[in-house]
Amino acid sequence: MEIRKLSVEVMTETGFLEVIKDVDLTIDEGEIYSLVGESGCGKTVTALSVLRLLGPSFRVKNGSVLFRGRDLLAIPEKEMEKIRGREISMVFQEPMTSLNPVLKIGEQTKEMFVVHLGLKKKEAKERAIELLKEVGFENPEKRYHQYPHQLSGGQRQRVLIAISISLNPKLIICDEPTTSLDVASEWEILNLLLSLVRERKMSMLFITHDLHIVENLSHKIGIMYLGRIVEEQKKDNFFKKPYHPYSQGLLRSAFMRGEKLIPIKGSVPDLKNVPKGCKFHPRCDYVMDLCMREEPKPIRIDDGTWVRCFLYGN
Amino acid sequence: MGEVLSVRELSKTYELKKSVFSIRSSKIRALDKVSLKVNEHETLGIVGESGSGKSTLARCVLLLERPDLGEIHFCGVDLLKLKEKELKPLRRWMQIVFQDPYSSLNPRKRVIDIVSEPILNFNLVDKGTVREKVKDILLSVGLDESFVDKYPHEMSGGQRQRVAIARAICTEPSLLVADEPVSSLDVSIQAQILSLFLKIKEERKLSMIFISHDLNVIRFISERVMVMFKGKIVEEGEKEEIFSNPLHPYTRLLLDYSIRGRGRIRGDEDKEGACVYYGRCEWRGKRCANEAPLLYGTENHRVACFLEGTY
Ligand SMILES: Nc1ncnc2c1ncn2[C@@H]1O[C@H](COP(=O)(O)OP(=O)(O)OP(=O)(O)O)[C@@H](O)[C@H]1O
Ligand SMILES: Nc1ncnc2c1ncn2[C@@H]1O[C@H](COP(=O)(O)OP(=O)(O)OP(=O)(O)O)[C@@H](O)[C@H]1O
Ligand SMILES: [Mg+2]
Ligand SMILES: [Mg+2]
Repeated sequence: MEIRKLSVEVMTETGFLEVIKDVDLTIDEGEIYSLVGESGCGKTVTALSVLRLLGPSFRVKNGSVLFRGRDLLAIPEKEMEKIRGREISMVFQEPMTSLNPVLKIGEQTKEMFVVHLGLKKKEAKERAIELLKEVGFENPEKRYHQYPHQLSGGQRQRVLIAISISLNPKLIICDEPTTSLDVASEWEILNLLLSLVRERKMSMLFITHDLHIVENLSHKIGIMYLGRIVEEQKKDNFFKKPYHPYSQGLLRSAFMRGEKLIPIKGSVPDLKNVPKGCKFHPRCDYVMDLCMREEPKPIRIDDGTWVRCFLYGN
Repeated sequence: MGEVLSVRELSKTYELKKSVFSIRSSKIRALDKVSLKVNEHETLGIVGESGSGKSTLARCVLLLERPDLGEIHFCGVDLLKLKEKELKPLRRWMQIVFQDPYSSLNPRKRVIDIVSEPILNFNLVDKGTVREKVKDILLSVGLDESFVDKYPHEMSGGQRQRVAIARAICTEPSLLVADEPVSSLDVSIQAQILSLFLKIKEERKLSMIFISHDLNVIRFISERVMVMFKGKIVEEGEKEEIFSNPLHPYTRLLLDYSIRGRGRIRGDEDKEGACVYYGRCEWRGKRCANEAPLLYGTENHRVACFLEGTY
C-alpha cells in the first residue's frame, strides 16, 4: 500500500482545519510499518482515511491511497466494501469496537465466514474454532460458547484479532490495540500479531505512541507530529540515529536509553494554533530563522531514510 | 533518617453485590495486611497491575477512606485513633496528586482559586498576599503569571497536572502521594512532569509515595520499590536491589516485559488459601497451593515466595 500526499481537513465552527498534511507512507509486502506520535497528531485519522471510514465532518483535501494498483479514494463505495475486511482489515483500541455483549464469541467469529464467504453453518463453525485456536485459545470449543464478559481484556482482543484476520487480508491496520491492557497481556497480544503477520505473510500498519513496542515489532518507522510525518527510517537505523529533533526528544523522554531523561520543552499546540513554518519550531532546540518562515519538505538522507528538517540537506 | 510514615498491616475489603436483587455478595480483598515505611526525603515507588490495590492504598494512607484494619503512623501520630476534628489540621502535611488532571480540578474555578483554597483553609497567609503566594508556587511548577486567571479547560493536560501539583505542595506537606500522575499524559509531557516531581522533591525535602504501573517510571523516580499483586506486597526493597536482583516471579515477569519486551504468562485462576500469584505462576509447587507465603528478608530486600532459599 502506498499513501501519497494525503491531506485531510475537519470542519469546525470556525471553518476547516488541517488534520493531516502531505502524508506519504509506503508499506511493502510482509512489512510492519509503525506510525508513532503523541495524542492528537493524526494517527487514527490517517488509518481511517485508508479504509474510508472517516466521519462526515472530515474531508480529504487531496492525495491518494494506492492499494494493489488501485486508488482506494477514487473507487465506488461498493468496491470499497469488498476491500474492507477482506483485503484490508483493522483492529481498534478495544473500547471503540468492543464485541457485541449479547452475542456469543462463536457467533461473532463465524459471522465473517457466513456473510462474506457464504459458508454453511457447520463449516463456518469449524473454521471459527480453527481460528480461535490459531489466536492462542487452548480450549476453543469452550470459548465458542462463551460471552464477551466472560473473557479478560487480553482474551477479547484475541477474539477481535481472530475476526479481523478471518478472511486472510493482505494488510492489517492496528490502532493502539494494546493500550487498555496490562503489560503482560500487552506483550502476549504483540507476540501473537507478530507471528500471525509472519505466518500469513500479511503487511501491518501499527499505530502507537509507545517506542518500546516499536523497537520490538517493526521494520520501518514513521514519526508523526501535528499531522505531518517528520521522519521515516528503517527501525534499526532509527534507534541508532534519529535525525529529526522531535524524534531525538521523544527517545530521550521515553526511558529508551538507560535512566537519563531530558524532556522536550513546551507542549503540543492545538489545531487552531498551529505555528507557521516547521510545526515543531517553537519546541526545537536548533531552531533557525528559516524554520519559522517555511515548512521543510522531506529530505532524503539515504535509502529508506528521510526527514523534514532544515538541519539536513543544504 | 527519620520515619515520616509507617503503616502496619493495613487491610481493606470491598463488598460487591452479585446483582441489584441479590443478597449474595462477593468480597474483594483490595488490601491484605500491607505494611510499609517511608523515610524522610525518600520516594517509595509502588508498582502493580490494574486492580492490585494501589489506589486503595493511597486513599487509605491519607484517610480519604477508612481501612478495615491496621495502623497508620504519620510523624509518630497514630492517625486511626484521631477524630476527624483532630485529623483536619494534620491534613495540611499530607497531600495527593491524582491520575486524571481533567477530573481532579474543578472546571468552574480559576487556577488562582484552585491553588489558594488550601492556603486559605489552613490560614497559611492572609487574603491580601495570597495572590503573590500563588504566583510564586505556580512559578516553581513552571507556569508563568498568565495562568493565574485561567480555567482548567483552557490548559493542556500537562499544564493541568502542574496546577494539581501546585495545589498539593502549596501547604508545604511533608508527604506527597502521587497516584499515577503521568499515566494520562503524552510521552514528551510525562518526562517534563517526572522531572518536575524530582525537582520539587529536592527543593522541598519531600517524602513521596509514587504509584505507577510503568516500571520505567518507577525506576526513574524512586529510592525504594514495592511490587503489589492482588492486594498484597509480593516484593519490596531498595530500588537497585529490586531491579538488579528481582526475586518474585511476578516482578521478574514485569521486568521481562517492560524492560526487555518479552516473556510468557499462563492463565489466571484464584485458589482459596493459595499464594496470591498461584494462578499465574510458572514455578508453582505443591506448597504454593495450600499456603500463602509471608514477606521475608532484610530491610534491603524482602519477598513473599516459597521458591526463595530463605524459606
Ligand atoms: N470529529 C472530530 N472533530 C474535530 N476534530 C477532530 C475530530 N476527530 C479528531 N479530531 C482532531 O484531529 C486531530 C487528529 O486526531 P486523531 O484521532 O487522528 O489523533 P491520534 O493521533 O489518533 O491521537 P490518539 O493517540 O489520541 O488516538 C486531533 O487534533 C483531533 O482533535
Ligand atoms: N469503591 C470500591 N468499591 C468496590 N470495589 C472497589 C472500590 N474501589 C476499588 N475496588 C476494587 O478493589 C480492587 C483494587 O482497586 P484499586 O483501584 O485500588 O486498584 P489499582 O491498583 O489502583 O488499579 P489501577 O491501576 O486500575 O488504578 C479492585 O478489584 C477494584 O475493583
Ligand atoms: Mg488515535
Ligand atoms: Mg488506581
